[in-house]
Amino acid sequence: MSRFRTMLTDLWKLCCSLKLAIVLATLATLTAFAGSLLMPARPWIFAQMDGLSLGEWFAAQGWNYPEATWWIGLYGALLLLLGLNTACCIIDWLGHLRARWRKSGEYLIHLGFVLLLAAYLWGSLAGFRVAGETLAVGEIRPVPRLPGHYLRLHAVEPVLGSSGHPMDVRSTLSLLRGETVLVRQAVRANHPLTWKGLTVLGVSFGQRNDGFRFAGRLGTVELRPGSRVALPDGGELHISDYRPNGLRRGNGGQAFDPIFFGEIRRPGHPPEAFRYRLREPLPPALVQTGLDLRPQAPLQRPVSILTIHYDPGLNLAFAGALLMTLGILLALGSFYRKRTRGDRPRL
Amino acid sequence: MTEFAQLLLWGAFVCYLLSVNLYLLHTLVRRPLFWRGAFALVVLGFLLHSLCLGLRWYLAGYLPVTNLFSTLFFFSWALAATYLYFELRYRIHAAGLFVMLLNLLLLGAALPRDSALKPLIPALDTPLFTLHIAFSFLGYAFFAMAFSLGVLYLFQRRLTTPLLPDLTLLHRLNEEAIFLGFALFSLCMIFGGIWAQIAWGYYFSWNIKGLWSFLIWLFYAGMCHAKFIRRWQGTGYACLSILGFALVLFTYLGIGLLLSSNHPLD
Ligand code: HEM
Repeated sequence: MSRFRTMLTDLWKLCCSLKLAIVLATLATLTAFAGSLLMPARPWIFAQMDGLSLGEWFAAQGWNYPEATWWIGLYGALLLLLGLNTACCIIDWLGHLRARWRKSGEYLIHLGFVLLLAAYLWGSLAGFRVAGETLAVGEIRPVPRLPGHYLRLHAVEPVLGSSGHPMDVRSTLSLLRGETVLVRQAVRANHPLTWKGLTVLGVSFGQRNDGFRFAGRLGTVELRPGSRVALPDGGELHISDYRPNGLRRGNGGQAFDPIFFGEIRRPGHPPEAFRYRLREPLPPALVQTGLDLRPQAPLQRPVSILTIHYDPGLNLAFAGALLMTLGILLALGSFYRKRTRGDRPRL
Repeated sequence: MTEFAQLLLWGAFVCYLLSVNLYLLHTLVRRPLFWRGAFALVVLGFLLHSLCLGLRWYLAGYLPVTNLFSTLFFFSWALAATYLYFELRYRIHAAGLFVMLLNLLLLGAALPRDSALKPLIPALDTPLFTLHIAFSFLGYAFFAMAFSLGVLYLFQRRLTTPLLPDLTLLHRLNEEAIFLGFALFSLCMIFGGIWAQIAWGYYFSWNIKGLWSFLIWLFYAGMCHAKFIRRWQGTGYACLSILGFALVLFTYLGIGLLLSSNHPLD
């Protein structure tokens, strides 16, 4: 029993050992210094590292290029051990708080480091990053990978500098959960929309073709999803969808082959669905209503191009940073106090 | 830059240059008059330097630290301030020669570069950026001071000259420089992280400069613990502070010149 106890005590001493901390920190530093020299020469592996959470990036690139990425795993493991080592030191300090409370600043720095490390690990494993999300003015779209949450774009406009050059983009966005607005924010450089671990940044803006302008007997008609047009025969035209790039979405779509989907509704009749491909003549169902539509020009709608990051450890990281700042300020005082009292470790 | 600011800049450079010469004379002839003169010139140079920095800050509307000229200029200012702190507190006299020589090199490297003040791009237009850069160069200045003290420690061990502070004081000053540098550099990392979070949506970026900055922080954190390890007192500590500054210089200048990084300031 006493041997077991001695073993446990020795193990605990090792966990709290400053020598172990120095060995781990040195190994981590050397690993990362050496490994990082592989980065600039291999942009196809490392250039997109900030575009994904570390866990997702590593799951993809780590397996594809083990010879160039092994050091990140090793570096992470060493840092993790250093974090555990630091946590043990803090626990040990807490056990002697009465005698060592004057070192609170130093130990807040240590605690801050442990929290930051834990937060980064959490964010790397459970967070995600999505780039290039486009959202048109007035549109509501689900936040990718965050069920029940939606983004609505109210407005997007360029911000011009004093010399008239476009310097930035301002996108007014709302984050909704179901119908409830959680935050509304004018997003621009250094002013993201943030909510819990979610950060939405406005990267750029552009235009999206979301319909077509026609001329005809009814005058100028603009059709886009949701449009309704009263027909000469008393019915109503409803547009349900519009696809500028052909039938199939994604890569399979042809370049600019616009198609409308909709139905014709008449009182007392079942709705009649139609599909109108603009490269072809008006479908018979529409001709019968007395419509004539001559395509004039595509309709463009301003869109905001967004980057969406989710990091569940963000608040923990912030707490870590705060504790570390406080620790630094206290440790500065404690450093000079120790000096004036001639308090140096006996070696 | 206005002619007046240019005049202040050159004035500061000339003062530092003369002070280095006087410190050199002091090491050769050992007259208190020379180190007093050298110190007075550093003070005057620092005043002109500060005035120039203040004027550039006023003209730009932001702390100008966005290109190589302005970072070298600010680094040199922070190093002069650091030296003054150590001189006023510990009277290190001739030890100033090496620090001021380093300072002269920094300011001298800035002089031929483009000093124009350009409008700030929106991503840099935040106090977090200013704090990040200011703390970074203040930290670097203390690391540079620690480097100088490390070199002087090695000199003193070989020469045992009364011109330099004794080994114990040099080691203590080095420890203080490392600790203050670490504290300031930690603040730089914290403000940089918060800025990166609001500007790019993550607080740590895997670009080589960001990674090396973290490693430098870890390295100096390790050095803060060296006083607990017998083998790392004195010479070992001096050598580590020299190595640390070599890493700082490589991160600040080398990465930008030799490797490609996507750090926002490269
Ligand atoms: C990256 C992680 C760490 C950082 C940033 C850090 C930072 C610091 C700083 C700034 C000090 C004050 C130094 C001074 O007063 O001159 C300190 C002191 C100390 N650290 Fe750490 N440290 C870290 C990890 C560790 C670990 C892992 C241990 C233990 C295994 C440890 C044990 C200590 C001890 C015992 C002190 C001395 C407190 C005293 O009695 O004055 N540190 N640390």
